[in-house]
Amino acid sequence: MKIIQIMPTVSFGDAVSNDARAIAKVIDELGYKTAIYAENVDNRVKDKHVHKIGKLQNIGKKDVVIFNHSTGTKLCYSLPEMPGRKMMIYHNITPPEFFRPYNARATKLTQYGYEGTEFLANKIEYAMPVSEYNASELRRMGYKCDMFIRPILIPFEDYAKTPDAEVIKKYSDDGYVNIVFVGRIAPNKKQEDIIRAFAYYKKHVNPKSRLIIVGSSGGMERYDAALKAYASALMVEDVIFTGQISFPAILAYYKIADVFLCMSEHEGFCVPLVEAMYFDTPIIAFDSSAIADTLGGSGLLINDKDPVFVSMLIDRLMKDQALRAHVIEKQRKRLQDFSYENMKNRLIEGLKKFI
Amino acid sequence: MEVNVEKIMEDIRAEIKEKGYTADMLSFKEVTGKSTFKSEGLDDCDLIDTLDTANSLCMVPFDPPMRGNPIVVFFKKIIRKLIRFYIRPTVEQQNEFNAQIVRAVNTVGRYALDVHSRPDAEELGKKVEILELKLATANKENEELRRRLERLEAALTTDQK
Repeated sequence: MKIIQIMPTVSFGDAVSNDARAIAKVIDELGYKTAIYAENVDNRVKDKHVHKIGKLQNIGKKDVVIFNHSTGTKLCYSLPEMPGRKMMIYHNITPPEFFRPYNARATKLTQYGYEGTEFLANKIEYAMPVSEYNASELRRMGYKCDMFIRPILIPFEDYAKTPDAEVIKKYSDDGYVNIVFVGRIAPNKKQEDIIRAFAYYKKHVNPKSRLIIVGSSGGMERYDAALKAYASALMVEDVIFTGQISFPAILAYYKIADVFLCMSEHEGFCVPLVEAMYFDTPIIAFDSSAIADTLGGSGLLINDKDPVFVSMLIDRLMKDQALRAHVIEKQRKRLQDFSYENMKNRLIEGLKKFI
Repeated sequence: MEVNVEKIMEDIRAEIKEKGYTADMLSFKEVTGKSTFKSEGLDDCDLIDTLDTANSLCMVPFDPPMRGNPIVVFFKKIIRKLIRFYIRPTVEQQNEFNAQIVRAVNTVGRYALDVHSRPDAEELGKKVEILELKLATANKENEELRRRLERLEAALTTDQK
């Protein structure tokens, strides 16, 4: 029996792609023939499991086809025609409304993605959504198949690599509080709310502070321009947009972060939260979508984006060592739930329920 | 020592209420509502992708590959050879037309991308709008400072009494 994965794109450094590759490795270790077939494959990806979809052939009735679903793709419509037993790993699709003011193409693509997901409701035999939030969304779209929640497999060994020393030197030991958010520049992540809270914090609570927004704006240039215009209009200094940077630089920003502030209004899992936990950076996050699922009671979950409240909470987190230690300790405990061994065992448990 | 996070958050909210702290700041909508951000404008990536696709598809092939049952394919090839005299001139004419259109679209596309990349009145307009927004922020901050001064003066007067 073969267990193969199909997806629209295998990118370099992307959470969904990394998860698929980690899954392929586990399936390989279980002794099954496996591969990932994608319509597009980033040239930088060097993985024996990854192939272009044109090479997909000889799928038998008893083979398993795992569809990694996270965006609009015609694979939703070709999947039912493929032989084999079908299951889906659902990472979630950003609702098109978020993109509507900024990017017509992204709006159409995500709308297409939702239509494709609904189309597959009665054609998928088993689903492994990466969060309870994703599972509830599938149920809302009419999925009645068995589901098994299986968080993303995260390669923690990558975070032990050497961070960029220049970034660390530039932003540490200067008495400044570094507030950091890591994630694509995307309207659902509401970076404007982070800027707004920081503006109040810097002007009224602690002038010796900086906000570092780590992430690429590829495809979201208008939103990126609006964010920069907003920071400029608020006349707040020390707001840094890193743009696309190297992995060692990302590690460095986590290292120098004093607080990880997330105001996202739509996440299917949010890997950066787990990354912040790894680096012992206390998290303040707005309670939306899968954020509470991923935090699992750790971090500081807020349901109020009032910049005054957020600023004073940041201030309290920086000054109250007992609170800070408490938050970090809870995050460390939650991080253990995402250990490679735990997640690998969970994946195997989930797969065995189907295969 | 047990840390009660909920209590800490309640205490913060109570302090905000007691001291009357408010965040009177420009909203993000006030920025994105500006004309600078309203229109979609030219999507460079979309245009380049579309031009690339048009360039790659503009030539209609005379002999597209045939797949399927070998016997059926054999007969299809014979039929194709027999009607080639009729089809070929039409395909050539279509390809010539397609090539001319794609050349024209490429030229217009290059011009649009070139114009789009130049700083012009639109840039100046953006700068003016940002300045207006900064002025609005400065006015709000001045107003906040004035209110704080009034509260301080009132408190000072009360103390003196």
